Amino acid sequence: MSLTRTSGLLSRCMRGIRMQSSQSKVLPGAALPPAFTLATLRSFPSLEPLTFVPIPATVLDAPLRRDILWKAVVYENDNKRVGSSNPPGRSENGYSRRKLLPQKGSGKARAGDANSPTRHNGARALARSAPNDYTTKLPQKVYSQAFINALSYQYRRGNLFIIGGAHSLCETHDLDVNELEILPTSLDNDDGDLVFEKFLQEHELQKQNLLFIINAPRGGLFRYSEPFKENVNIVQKEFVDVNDILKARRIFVELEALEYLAVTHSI
Amino acid sequence: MLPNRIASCGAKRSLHVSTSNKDFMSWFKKKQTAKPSVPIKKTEEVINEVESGARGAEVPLSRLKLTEDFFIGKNASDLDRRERQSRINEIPFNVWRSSEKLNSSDALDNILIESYNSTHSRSQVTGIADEKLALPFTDLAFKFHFSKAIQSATGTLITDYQITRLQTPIAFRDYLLKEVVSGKLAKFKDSEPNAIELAKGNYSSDSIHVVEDVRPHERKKRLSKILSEVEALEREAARQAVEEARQAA
Repeated sequence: MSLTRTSGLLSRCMRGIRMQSSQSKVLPGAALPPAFTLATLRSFPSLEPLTFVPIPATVLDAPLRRDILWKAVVYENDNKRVGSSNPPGRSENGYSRRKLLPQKGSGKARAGDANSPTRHNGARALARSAPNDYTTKLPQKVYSQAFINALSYQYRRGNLFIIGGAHSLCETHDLDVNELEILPTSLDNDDGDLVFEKFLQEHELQKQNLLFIINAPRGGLFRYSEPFKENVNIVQKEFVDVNDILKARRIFVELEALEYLAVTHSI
Repeated sequence: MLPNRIASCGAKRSLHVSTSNKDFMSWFKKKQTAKPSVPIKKTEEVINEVESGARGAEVPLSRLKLTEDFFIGKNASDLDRRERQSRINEIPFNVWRSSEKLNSSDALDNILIESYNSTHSRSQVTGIADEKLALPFTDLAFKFHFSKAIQSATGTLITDYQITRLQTPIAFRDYLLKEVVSGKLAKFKDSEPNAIELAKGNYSSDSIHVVEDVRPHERKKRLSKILSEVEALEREAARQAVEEARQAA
């Protein structure tokens, strides 16, 4: 009796599920995710906002994927390895080929020569000779996704500052420029390093890992950030890594460089 | 034993101590006893001369080497740093954000109203309860100018991610109240971005006791205060002990 009732209930539930799945109702709070996210274009070095630029959410607001970031970081670090180790094999190790013990009668375990990899100071099993190739492969699409993911992560944390002045709503201040360049206060004074230090102090960026992604070589930035080179990483747009992006506390990127990265890594 | 050997080195050439003389003929020359060019004086005479100031002019000033240890006062590197800092302070810089930090909701309301009125040309608001503040931004230009004015007046950088999500002026107010006025942003550390700040006010139960976090700066300040108090007490105790000993004597 109870079995038949249970089976009846089950069949009714199944019917209900089928009904729900066939009638595709839109949930009341459902909405399409925004297609664009806003980024502020700023002048440098004051970081004064000049205008907004809408940037596709696929570029700067991609959902975080730690697994893909992990893959990209491992891939990059594998490919950075030089592979210069040259451990000796048992044929190259310096000891004699003499058998250390007679095969029988010593009361000890059987032993070959002193070059055996099992012995202390013995040779290396699976020895190799430099250059050793540790490179691994990663599909381009996965790497690009990781790149975009890293940028989005820094954007969401508020660590991404975009420098540029195209179609701005405000005028650029006399003391600022629209690119990642440091200029001395006047032609007579060679005080660009002081300007750069002032920039660090004003934005409380001392002793923080900074990444500057530039569109073209910037002589002033290279020259005047030299005293702070331990914390400052200046990379041209073509050579930026996922590692660089993830390790930086603040990222300053020129608009053209960001456009290049977005196009290069669009999936 | 050692002084004898040293004295003998001066008279004869010990092969293992001195360098060899390549001039072979010098062996046959008569060794003249070395006479000091300056007559030797007695120690007392030298002391008298020095004390009377007679030898003052003889001191070769050109040989005086001044190192940092000879100077009394500030460290040279500190002075350099201070000089550099003063030069940095003189560098002109476009300061577009207020240096005064936001600390009360009333100040925030005033800033919000001023920012709205200065950036929205068509309509004006008088109070924070105005319904216009709850309306979404009409266009991106207005949103840009409003957000810039807010950031400029409060001295706080609002992230682009948040600006995208804040759709109304009143949403900016809520965000700033929650993040800035509450002190959450001031406590934020880059090294611990997801740190949870516990406060007594969050828990009403008697069984929950929150040990408030003490900042390193406050900790140091308190320690130095305690140490100075201990030092003062020790000094007082020593003074009393000396006084008692005097009275007993």
